Amino acid sequence: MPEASDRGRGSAETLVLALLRERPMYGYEIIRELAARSEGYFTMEEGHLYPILHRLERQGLASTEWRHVDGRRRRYYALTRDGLRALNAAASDWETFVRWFSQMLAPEGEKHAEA
Amino acid sequence: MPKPEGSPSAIFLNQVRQQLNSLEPAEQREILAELATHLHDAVERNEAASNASLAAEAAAVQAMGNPVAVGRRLRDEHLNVRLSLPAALLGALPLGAIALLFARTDLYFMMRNFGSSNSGFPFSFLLALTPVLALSLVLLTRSRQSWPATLLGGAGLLFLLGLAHGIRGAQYAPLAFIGLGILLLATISLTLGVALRWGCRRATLALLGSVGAYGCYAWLHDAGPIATLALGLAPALGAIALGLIPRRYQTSATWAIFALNWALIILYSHHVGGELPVPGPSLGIFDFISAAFLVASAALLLAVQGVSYLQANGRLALPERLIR
Repeated sequence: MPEASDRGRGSAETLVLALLRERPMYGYEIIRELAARSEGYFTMEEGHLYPILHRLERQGLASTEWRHVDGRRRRYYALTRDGLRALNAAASDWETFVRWFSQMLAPEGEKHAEA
Repeated sequence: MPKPEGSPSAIFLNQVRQQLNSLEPAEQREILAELATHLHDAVERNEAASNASLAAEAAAVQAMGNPVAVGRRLRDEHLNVRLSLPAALLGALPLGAIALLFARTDLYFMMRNFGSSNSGFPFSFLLALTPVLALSLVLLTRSRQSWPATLLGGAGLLFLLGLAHGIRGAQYAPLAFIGLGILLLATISLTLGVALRWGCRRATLALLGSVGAYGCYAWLHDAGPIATLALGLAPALGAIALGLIPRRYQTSATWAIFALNWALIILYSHHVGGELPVPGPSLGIFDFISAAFLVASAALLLAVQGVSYLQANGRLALPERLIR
């Protein structure tokens, strides 16, 4: 079972990959979307997003492209095929984790009922 | 518009920059440009939410987190060097043997007597092993390069097995030709990959492949001691260069490889012109086709790397997608 710190680190990457699945985004846009869609639940120190994005690029899970938009040069990140595979694998892992975690937290009677 | 020097944004970026000193200048510029754009967007958003300009900027910088921590994490992501010690030792062993033999000035005679001399065989075997071990270094340090490196390493292994069956004079083990064929195929496909914009890293591997192909071919024809020694070193140098320098900007080390390749081309030209002894059989027109191919691939890779180098140092401003 992954350590809690590993799962925390991996969840940030998974969330970023999930956003990139929709469309290519730049860093500030990712931060805004993350907060907006989770109604403020998922937040992070914004500067720490960039090591995550650069790691995803290095691992081949995201590709990047500089674009000139509204007179400003921004670096857009897009999901690669490897990134999509990694996202699907992470999503499956999380589902399993949530299922069993919920099972463990459920009161004894409910557990037996489910079984 | 750049922020004044004492502004919160400028201070933040300066503190990040101090953590990035070990990266290439072009890499540092890109990282800081990205962070500066982020800060600019954040400040604009804060100002739109009715914050005063200075408060908006302070809030944007505050939200970024500790600049030293951010800078260190970014540096660690870009300094992606994980050189395996066993691989480094394996790569260094044949290089040490070559250096020792060269110092003893009897390397040429050992290579001429390859397979026929009990004392020469182990050292020649080590020399043949150099490309394979060097390519193992690539495999262990950069997993994303695995398929070209695997192809080249596998071809090198085939060539090695062919040599182990005893290449003497005009007798060539078929396996050596198979290895040569695969190496040339790898070179052609990787050079085409450059044309399809697979990126400078793979283009450098194409150069490595062309040098490896030339190495096999020259070995079969005994192109001479200097060429043989250089061919033994070239894949090792290329592998070390690929493994140790930042992934997007391969500059001084790859320039060294290019220089080596050009030196080999010049030596090969002398060989074709008959100025070096060629005891082995000639492959006819293949001599000239391969030379032309090597010159063309080297020229193409020289152009690609030159553009990458100039772009990386800010002397060119080509769209990023052309550089990939």
